Amino acid sequence: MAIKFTGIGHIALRCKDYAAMEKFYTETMGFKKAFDLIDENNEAWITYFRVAPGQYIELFPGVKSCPNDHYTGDNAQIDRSHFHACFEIDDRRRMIADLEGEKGLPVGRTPDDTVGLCRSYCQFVHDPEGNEWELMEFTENSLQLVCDDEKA
Amino acid sequence: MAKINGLTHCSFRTNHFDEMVHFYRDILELPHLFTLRNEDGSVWIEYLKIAPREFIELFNERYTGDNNWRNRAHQHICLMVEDIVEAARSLEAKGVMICHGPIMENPPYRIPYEIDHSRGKCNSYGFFVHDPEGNEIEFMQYTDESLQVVNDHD
Repeated sequence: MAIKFTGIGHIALRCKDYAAMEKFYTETMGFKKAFDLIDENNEAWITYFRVAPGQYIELFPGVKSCPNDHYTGDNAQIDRSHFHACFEIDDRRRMIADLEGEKGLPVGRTPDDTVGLCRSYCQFVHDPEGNEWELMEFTENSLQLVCDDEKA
Repeated sequence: MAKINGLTHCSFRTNHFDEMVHFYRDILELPHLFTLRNEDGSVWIEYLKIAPREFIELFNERYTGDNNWRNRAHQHICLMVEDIVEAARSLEAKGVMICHGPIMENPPYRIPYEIDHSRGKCNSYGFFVHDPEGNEIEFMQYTDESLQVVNDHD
């Protein structure tokens, strides 16, 4: 029997500069810190930032008790299979005005504001560790919506 | 500020494209929604559906490194399921190894996966599997006591 999936629960990211990452996900992206998971040394092992109901970003500050929570390489995008993850946004123009205009975060986008092959508007930003985030605004013609018989 | 509605996809580059499509489409049984093609007609991206408005994108593009976890910040993506035991049984039946956590620090579960005593620090049920590129995927089922539920305030 097929597994019954209900959605994406979270994306988990290790951090070299935790303070910069927390600042990015809270102050720049606007997510609220929801809770910490505390290890046996009373250190924050994982911190949770809420994206949507039941959906989070997990940040791993890199505690002493979990050596594998630290990465040592440069996180170069071409060296890894994880390419990017994506947030659905409601208004690309306001998002660009806020992130780039107000907060000085460069937002990659098509110069003439055209949709991608999937007929959605696609913008890109990067967090302080160099992880790429797509910011996607669906249209009524988006393949992500019109190809899906089961509507959200 | 404009609103962020939620996580809508996670994408992977592939050095074993056919195996990756097989894993996500046939082993995890995520429905295939559509294909984006390059100008020459070759496959660029396969779109697989997790839930309405939530997807996995598989790129028919190679990466140059070995995808070693020491060289990447991304640790895993977590997929929510209605029934963690049912999910484990389905994967076990297909020969998928189920682990307690990241494979370099946690041994595989003995088969069959048992739900007893397996709640994480966050009070949710979970286990990990690995795709053909070595990416970690967490499977999770929330409980009434899950910190992801009790701390979720709009």
